[in-house]
Amino acid sequence: MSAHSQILLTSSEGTEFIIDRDIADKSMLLKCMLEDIGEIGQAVPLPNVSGPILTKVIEYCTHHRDDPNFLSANDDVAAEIDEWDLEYCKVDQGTLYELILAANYLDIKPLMDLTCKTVANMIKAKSPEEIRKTFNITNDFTPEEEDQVRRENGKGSRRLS
Amino acid sequence: MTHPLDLPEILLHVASFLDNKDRESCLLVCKAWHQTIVPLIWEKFSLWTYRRETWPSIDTIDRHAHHISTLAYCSNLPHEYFFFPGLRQVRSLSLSFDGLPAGILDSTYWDAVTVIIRQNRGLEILNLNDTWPAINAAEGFWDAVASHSGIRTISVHGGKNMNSPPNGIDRPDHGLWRICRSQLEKLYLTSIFLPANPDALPLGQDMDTTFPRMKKLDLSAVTDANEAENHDASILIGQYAASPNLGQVRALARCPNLQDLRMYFSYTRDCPRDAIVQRFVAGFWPLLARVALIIAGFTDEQLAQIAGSLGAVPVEEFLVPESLFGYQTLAAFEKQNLFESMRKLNIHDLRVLEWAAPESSVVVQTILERCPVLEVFFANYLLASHVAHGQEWAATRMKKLKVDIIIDNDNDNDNKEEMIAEGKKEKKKNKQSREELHVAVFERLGKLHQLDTLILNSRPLTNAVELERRMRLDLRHGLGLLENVGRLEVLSFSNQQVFEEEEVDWIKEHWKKLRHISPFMHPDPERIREISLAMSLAGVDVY
Repeated sequence: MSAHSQILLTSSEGTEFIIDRDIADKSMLLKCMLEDIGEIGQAVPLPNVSGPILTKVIEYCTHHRDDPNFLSANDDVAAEIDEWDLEYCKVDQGTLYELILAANYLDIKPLMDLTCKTVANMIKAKSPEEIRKTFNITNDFTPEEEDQVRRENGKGSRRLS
Repeated sequence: MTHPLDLPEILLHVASFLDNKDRESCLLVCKAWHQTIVPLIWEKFSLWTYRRETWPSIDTIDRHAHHISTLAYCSNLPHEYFFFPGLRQVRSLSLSFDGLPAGILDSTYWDAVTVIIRQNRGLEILNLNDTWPAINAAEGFWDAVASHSGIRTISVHGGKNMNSPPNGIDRPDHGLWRICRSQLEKLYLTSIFLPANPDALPLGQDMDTTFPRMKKLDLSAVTDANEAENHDASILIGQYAASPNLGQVRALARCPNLQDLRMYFSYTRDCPRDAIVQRFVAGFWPLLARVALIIAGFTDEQLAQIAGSLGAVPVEEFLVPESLFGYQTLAAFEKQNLFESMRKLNIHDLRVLEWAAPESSVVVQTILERCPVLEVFFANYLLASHVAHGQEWAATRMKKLKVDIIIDNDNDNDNKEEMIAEGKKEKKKNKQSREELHVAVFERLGKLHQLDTLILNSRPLTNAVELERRMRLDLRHGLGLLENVGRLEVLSFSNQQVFEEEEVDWIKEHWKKLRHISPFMHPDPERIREISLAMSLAGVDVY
């Protein structure tokens, strides 16, 4: 199996993508699949990922192609997102959500961390009402329930060690 | 399309990047979010003595107790806060002294803690921060610890609140030693007293003690218990200096599985060097992969004996600042094949005062030539002539390097009379040579593409010889050769470094990740303020 071998993927609409094996290996799902079955020469169908999203995912994996710390890249919870990654995540919410689902499905941990961190940044320093607005969520608490949650989880009661 | 935040696993992943304040806001968003995030909020729970009014009610804690996996209690906790039937998932328990009178840590307190220990079978980590359970008040506690099948890590921090000596710790049947002899894997002892020569266990008898599962021993400021007869400071210091601190050696049992040994000493409290060397040589810890003996003051010969006992498994760390790492230790590294796997080395020794100690430099150059996976390296001196005449560095994965690089003079060994006789011509040759030496050093440094910290000439330079021989980090001398060292975050150099505009521009252009740089000089003193300000506005500290 040469390092430069190529893999054929098909997106949900049936569009075919040819990518290098080392790019495919960034996805734990594809890596395990290819290790298990070897090279089959057939297209690998990805019914859960649309063409535009797959393009975006491949763009990410290609940019981080030679990154030696790929798997631990976003482990540092407090670390700032680097410039390229920040630019990469400047997409509409719909695309961001699809990227999360694709990263989750394809099992690409650094992309999963990056996109979830981006969502977390959309939550930071917001009130519950602002969060609901951001993500278009309906408040299904009764005022009494809301009050109880507030009382039980009041600020300052826990000191993170 | 499924909304990713409707999937609990993804919402949890997002929440893992939030602090508790933001998580609390998430709780109130909707019922689904509440259900997903509540366990995360309660995962770590602590009650600290102060701000009592912010504590959740007993009833609330009771209902969420089953989520708690990390529990931290203070020493003055009302006893009703100990007894929650749902508290069964605790994996880490910390008991911290809160600064109030210690009398509160009585047998009732320890009996209550004992209940928690007994009902949390998954408990793995126990931290005692200045809350030493005296054996007469906490016999049941120690029995529960010693017979608990899950505890793997114990950390004891003493000091403020510790009896001196801690009651009972010197007895070989103490609960702490009992669990060490059965299952403990990690033991951290900080700022505690261990009697050097208790009646129960004379020094030497401990040679037979074995901690079969121990993987990590970390002893910091473990000192002999001395009854201070006189509180006069100078006499006390004298006592400390004379104290062999042999007590801690008793915690150094045979550990056939120890991978990580860390011992921290200090300049005022001596290290029991012979006793420690003796244990290395006797093969107490055959599987060591990480060794840190900080401020121990070993001689080269002693260090060589220690290094000579290693190598049965690949050794990754050897941190021995303030010991003498010389030719003998280098030979032991060679013999035991320790270069191959070494990732972190600290051989910095403040006592090497001589400006250009050739032995120190040969050791450093050899290590750089021989260690292919070295990432962190702190040392004293490196002479540019050793670099120029030496081989390429194998250590190209270096991330942090701290060493004083000296541009020595290749002509230093030439006959002085000849130099005077040849006058001008010799001077020119001299200068060329200095420039070549700079290039040789810059070329080697330029290949360290992963470098994030570079500390050169860390000490303030004072005398003329030192100033003359400092490395110059300007473009004329070869700074441009560092263009591929793009990850550099910290750069430190001598107090006599001059940067002109072109260097400042070059640094801005090539080192985008730079966060800290030493203060430098500029031909125009007015400009330096502007440049420093511009740098700090761009996120680079100049200090």
